[in-house]
Amino acid sequence: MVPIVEISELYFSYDNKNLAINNLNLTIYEKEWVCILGHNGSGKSTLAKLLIGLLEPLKGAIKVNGKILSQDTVYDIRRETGIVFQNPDNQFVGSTVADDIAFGMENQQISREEMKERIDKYIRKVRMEAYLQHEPHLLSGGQKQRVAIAGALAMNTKILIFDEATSMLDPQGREDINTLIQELKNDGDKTIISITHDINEAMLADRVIVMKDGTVMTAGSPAEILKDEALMNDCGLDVPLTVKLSQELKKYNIIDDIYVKQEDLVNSLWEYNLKK
Amino acid sequence: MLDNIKLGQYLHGDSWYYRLDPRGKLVMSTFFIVIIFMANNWITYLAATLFTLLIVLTSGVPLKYFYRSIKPIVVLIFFTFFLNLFFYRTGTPLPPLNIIINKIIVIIYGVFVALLITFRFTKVIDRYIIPKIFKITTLVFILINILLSYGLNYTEFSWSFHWIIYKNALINGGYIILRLILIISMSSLLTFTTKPTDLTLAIEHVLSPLKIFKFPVSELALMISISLRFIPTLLEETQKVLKAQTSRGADFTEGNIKDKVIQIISLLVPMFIISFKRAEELANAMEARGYIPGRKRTSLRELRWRFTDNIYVLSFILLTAFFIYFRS
Repeated sequence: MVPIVEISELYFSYDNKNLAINNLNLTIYEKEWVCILGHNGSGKSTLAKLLIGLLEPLKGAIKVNGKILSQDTVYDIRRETGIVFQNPDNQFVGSTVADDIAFGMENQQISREEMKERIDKYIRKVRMEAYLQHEPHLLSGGQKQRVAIAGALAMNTKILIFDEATSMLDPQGREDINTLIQELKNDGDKTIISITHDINEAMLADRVIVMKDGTVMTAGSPAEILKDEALMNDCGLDVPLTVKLSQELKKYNIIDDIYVKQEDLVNSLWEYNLKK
Repeated sequence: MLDNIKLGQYLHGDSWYYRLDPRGKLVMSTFFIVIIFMANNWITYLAATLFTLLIVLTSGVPLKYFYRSIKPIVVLIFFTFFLNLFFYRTGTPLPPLNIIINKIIVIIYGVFVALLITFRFTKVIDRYIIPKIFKITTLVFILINILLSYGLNYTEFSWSFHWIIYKNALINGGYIILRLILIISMSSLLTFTTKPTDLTLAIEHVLSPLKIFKFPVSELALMISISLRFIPTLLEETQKVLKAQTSRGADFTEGNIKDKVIQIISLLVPMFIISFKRAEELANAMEARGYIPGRKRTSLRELRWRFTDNIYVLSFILLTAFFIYFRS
């Protein structure tokens, strides 16, 4: 596994009193889907802004794709990092869908023909081809986020960051975006960092990193992390429904393990039915 | 509700005029305002009118839209016309239109006042309209009386005097009306048939020579296009704040001016804060996507100069030549 993002001893403060990021060490590997989980104010969104150089750390180093983030390298690093923010409205720059997807490419001075090709390719990827000439106020939140994803994809970045990209969407929009992220993961050429407090999103990731008070509390596979109720409650998060259900079922000796994935839980229930 | 918000005045449609290059349209519409002032006799005005009519009628934009854009300035047009009538004092005078006109005005005014009193008591008409009519008629009456008395021969009654109109004043007033209508038609046609985004792009291209003086043309164009893009978003937000404040007891319709100002502040303050927050997030998003102010960018949208654009420009040049030759 090749590390693509390396963060060591990172400190950051908004007001020079309280540390928003407090001695954070983190390594993210190429082509993995990492989910950074944390409650409000745990510093996860601050981390995203630090990663793309929108904020400057007090201390510590961020290394992206072998380059140390600094004044000189920040523009190069942004070329390798696409980010989708929380508010669908506040990141829609263009006056139509096509213009918005092109915005990042225009900044990279990509030729018009190339832009058209890429827009055509990625608009299909996010299934928004019917809306190419639509104006943003005619789109739903989920559709705007899909456009934002297409815009990030069109820049052909190695890393894709989702900074609470689904938190302002309705359940349907959320599901659409999560499915899309999963598809991107399956395509296997991007490192995906999704920052969220949505447990269901975390369940799909390769690795979950739990943040609390500006630092990494623990990291591990979703199966390990999400069933640890004490840990989750400590971070102000709730355990998934599947975990709750398996805990209850375990009390009645119906199943003998705690399952995070719905599929696993269903399978073990089938088995119980057979044993009976 | 938000579906019928229109950005600018663009009307969906397709015709040869829609397909023209927005740069040509923009420059020629401005050029038209300049050359129309060269027209000063009936033949040049006839040419200008026919020229505009030809373009307007073939542009595919329904005439009612032109009527709608002329309507708001009808008052201005007539005001200019009347001023011109009273102050333009050369050439042959027309026979004096004396007492009769003023008597007609007095009668009309009397009828208005009578109507006013009747409706005040019966409250048939909306109570806001009556004082409005009263104000306007009084104003018109005073204005006309002052203007009529301007350097005229008084007869024995203070409200009846001779009013001399000069022939040239009438003709010139007519030209002024025509000129304003033509200018507005051509300018409206530009905004009716050009998308705001294309217009912004055209402005960027037309102003691009200013780049030599380090004038941030591309940044300006991007600013315009972002402002346009955020109008519906902010309107939507305003609706939300309006509802939120109304639910907390704010009343934006009743009360005197002082109350209203206070209520509007309760709308403006949240709107300002929201706009600043949006602006910051948008700036972050733009920066994250590699935007660097002042750096050269490519553009997805392209403007194509076609053969018809040449003909369009040529027609304006011919019109100018016609003006130069036939003007007196």
